[in-house]
Amino acid sequence: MPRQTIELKVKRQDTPTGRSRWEEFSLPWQPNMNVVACLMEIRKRPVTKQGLATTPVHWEASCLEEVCGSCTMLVNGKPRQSCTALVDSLGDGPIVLEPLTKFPVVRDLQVDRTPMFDALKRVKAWIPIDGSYDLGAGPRLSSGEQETAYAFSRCMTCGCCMEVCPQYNDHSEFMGPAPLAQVRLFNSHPTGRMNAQERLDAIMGRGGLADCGNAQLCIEACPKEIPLTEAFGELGRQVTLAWLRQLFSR
Amino acid sequence: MPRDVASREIHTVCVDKGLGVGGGMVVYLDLTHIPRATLKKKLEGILEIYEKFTGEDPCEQPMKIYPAVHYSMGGLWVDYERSSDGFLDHGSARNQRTSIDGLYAVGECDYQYHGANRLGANSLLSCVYAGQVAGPAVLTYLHSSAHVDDPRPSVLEAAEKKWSARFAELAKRDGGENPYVLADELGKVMLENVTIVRHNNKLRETDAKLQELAERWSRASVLDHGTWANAPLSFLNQLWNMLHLARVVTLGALARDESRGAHYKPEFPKRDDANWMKTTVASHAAAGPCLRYEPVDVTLCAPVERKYD
Repeated sequence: MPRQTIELKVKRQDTPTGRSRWEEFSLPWQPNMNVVACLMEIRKRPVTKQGLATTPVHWEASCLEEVCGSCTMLVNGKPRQSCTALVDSLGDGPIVLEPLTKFPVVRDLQVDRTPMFDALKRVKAWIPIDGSYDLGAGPRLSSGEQETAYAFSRCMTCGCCMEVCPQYNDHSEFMGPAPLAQVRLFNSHPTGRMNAQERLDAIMGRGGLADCGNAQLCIEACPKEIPLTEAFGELGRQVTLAWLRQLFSR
Repeated sequence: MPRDVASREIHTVCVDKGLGVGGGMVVYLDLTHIPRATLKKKLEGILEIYEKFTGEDPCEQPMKIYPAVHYSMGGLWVDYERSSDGFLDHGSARNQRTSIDGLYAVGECDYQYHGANRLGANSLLSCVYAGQVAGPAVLTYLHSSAHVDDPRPSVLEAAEKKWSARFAELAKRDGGENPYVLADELGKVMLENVTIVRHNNKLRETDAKLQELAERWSRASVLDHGTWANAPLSFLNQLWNMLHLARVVTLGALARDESRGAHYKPEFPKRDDANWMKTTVASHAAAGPCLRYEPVDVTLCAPVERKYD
């Protein structure tokens, strides 16, 4: 006998500085429901389990196919995308929804992930190409290189790795796993490699690679199974070589 | 197999013949004869998403699928300027410019490549092409006399006043209709009648339904009277635009009595180049969308019959 209702417990907060509170909702069960679908049902009838009128739960979502990362939240305490959190796989108890804790709350389940995007700017996670004129064909990658790069290019800056990283918190300057892995990606690209030293400089400074504590929780939390720890190993090699080069070129 | 043809076949099997899996709107897409290693190499991302959303392994069990809306075929009208040899004049400020002076559209939001069908990787084409063309066009515009450095303060003030008043009015809405329920109904009627297969009587019914939804929209509640991160408030405004756009799509389809690309009318199954090789352009009017037509430039590439045999 499948469950008749879906019970949800949602941590709500009206403003970034406001106090949080819990609200409970009860929805009729339907097949193939995920957490986003539940939140969409709530906004069509914003009434709590106790029958009190409330506002629709606020959350962020865009692609609904686990490629944008914006619907990331804590589902039963675990950071993950709410679009792929299937109700039937979440146990019999109430589904508990909370915002990520490592980023400031905007409202309810939406957080401000700007610190992660700022870190991507710090490490120059792009390939600079000047002008709109034709530079001709770029260098080619072997299929092996493509496959390695592809794994890192799947990062959607969802923040799951940042959430579980014990070193990434508000009393540390550590930039976190996601931006570091992008240095690995862009430094392996034949055109991106031209700016490899700038990216290494960014992660050799404060809050960079050396602040990683090797807890290795990031690789477990990553929904795209990005080989984050392998990236840090390779970056360790790159920064060591860069440091030695600097030492002997003085 | 192009996606519009495949979609119509699936529609025929499920709707006309009632032969969908379990009698529902589902068919199987079977990949189980392909070795797991090959699938992982070629289609890892998409199959992983299927597994995550359904809880079933597509390497072991046939996938259950049905066509879904993925893309809007159509978009903002943009201009272009032809050079004397029939190609594009790359320096022209007209390229990619919308009907609003100084407003340029770049990428999938413009209409240029996808009037009749959505081809794979069109999104890449549209961002690469329009990006390359719009950049120089904007520069030319900035250096031209048409460009005004600073719009008059009165223009900005009037715009701010208009939108502040609009949102202040929406923020007070307290009627009995829920905007998200209306959006669900909008999606349902458009999906049923204005996607894979189109019948003129159904299109007329749809237009009537859209006008009913617009009337109910005026009695919808904003649901949230807060002033911070109020998503229902923006949604209420957006829904009004969606209702207008839905009428553009529906009435454009109703007027076009032929089948072209993904636009399929069983009553008119053939492509009719003599009468309909033209682009539908809609403009806003208080009484509803106004349609006009523009010729399609085929000087560089003449159309041929579409065949897959």
